[in-house]
Amino acid sequence: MKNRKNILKLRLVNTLIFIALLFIQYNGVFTISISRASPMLPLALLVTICMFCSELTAAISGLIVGVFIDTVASTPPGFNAIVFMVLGVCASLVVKYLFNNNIFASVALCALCTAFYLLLRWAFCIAFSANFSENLTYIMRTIFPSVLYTAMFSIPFYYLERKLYGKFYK
Amino acid sequence: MRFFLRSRQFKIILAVFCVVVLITLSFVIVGKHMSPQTDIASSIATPIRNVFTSVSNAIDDFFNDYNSGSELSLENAELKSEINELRQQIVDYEKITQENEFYKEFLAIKENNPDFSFADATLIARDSDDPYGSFTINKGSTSDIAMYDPVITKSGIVGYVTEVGLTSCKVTTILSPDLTLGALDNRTNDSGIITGSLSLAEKGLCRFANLSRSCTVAVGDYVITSGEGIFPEGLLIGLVDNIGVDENNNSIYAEIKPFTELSEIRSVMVITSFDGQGGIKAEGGK
Repeated sequence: MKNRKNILKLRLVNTLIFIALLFIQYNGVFTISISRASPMLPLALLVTICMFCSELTAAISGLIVGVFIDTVASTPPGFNAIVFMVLGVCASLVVKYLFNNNIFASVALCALCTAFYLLLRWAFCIAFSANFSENLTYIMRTIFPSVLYTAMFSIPFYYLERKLYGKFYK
Repeated sequence: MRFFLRSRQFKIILAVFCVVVLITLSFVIVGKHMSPQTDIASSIATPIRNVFTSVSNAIDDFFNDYNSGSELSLENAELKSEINELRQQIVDYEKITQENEFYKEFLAIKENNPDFSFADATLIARDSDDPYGSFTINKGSTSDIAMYDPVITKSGIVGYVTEVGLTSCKVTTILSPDLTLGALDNRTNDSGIITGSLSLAEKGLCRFANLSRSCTVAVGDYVITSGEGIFPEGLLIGLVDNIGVDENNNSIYAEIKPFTELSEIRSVMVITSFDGQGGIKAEGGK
């Protein structure tokens, strides 16, 4: 019973962090971009959370976050819901079967997931409406720095989640 | 891994995935309408975003005001608390003045174009990952907004509605290559097409393309809508910033600096109906 209460508390804290990150990422007033690099904060947190939870929880978390991102992102309808769900499950599985659950895995997974997401988004939304040099410039000057910038955020998120899971599961 | 693929968890995940893909695909095939799950999420999130936007606008206004009045506050350190109080009142006053100005201009546009029906809306979210600066506003189909409705400000065209939910909708800006609209040079009446490109969007410009080689378009000319496409005639688009010849040496193009500063938009007007829109409806625009 106490364990269930703690899990609910943990979910609540994570939901509040997600709401704050979604606001920071998609508000119309200020931006956290550096030059053209814009971090995908909700994705960095999702990957970190998925490292600590089961595949089903990861899938549901990814789906919910993706649906909320779909309400503001200029991507095809449902794009984020599907991609975030898949990325959540993949992150959870990779940590379970391939990587150890440590900070290096967190940074690497976050970078891989962000690169996958941004490249997929580029392929769907930009690639066919721009010429070769524009596409190359976009990949090198926007996607690549954004991946690095996002990966940086996985460090504080990893320690935060580890602390939260340690606190609520002990 | 094999255990996972045989597990009940995997079957549930696969089922949820298939349902989401099916719903999404059906809505993509029907048109660019928000999928039901997105619409529900949007209806939940819009009031929260409204609050967040008001708070961040107030903070932004406060700091802008603070920066402009910092000398005064240093000179009057002992009256700091009083000044802050007054400043807050000024912020409120300026907000009201801005709103009044907005509605006055809104009224002026409405008086000049009696056939236009408007819905005024506030920007509640901006997609920071979109190079073309698309954004979300706090009005949807419940305010009579429909797909392809033109979005403008007092300065000129902003873009058009590309996805409509019940309480919010997404706007694609004129910097996007997805938008193509007929335009005229106000001085010479040379006609062409306005469209965006990735490299120009980074500079906040769009392209006035397909101009004939004999055209006399010059830097500094005003460009307005010609009435072809989804926009009504005579709306301001921008100023000619630069002129060049296209890659195939067939036609002239001009780079246009939109009158509306897209990164600073807070409020917009959506033209929900205007004379001549029926033709577009018949073509499948709406």
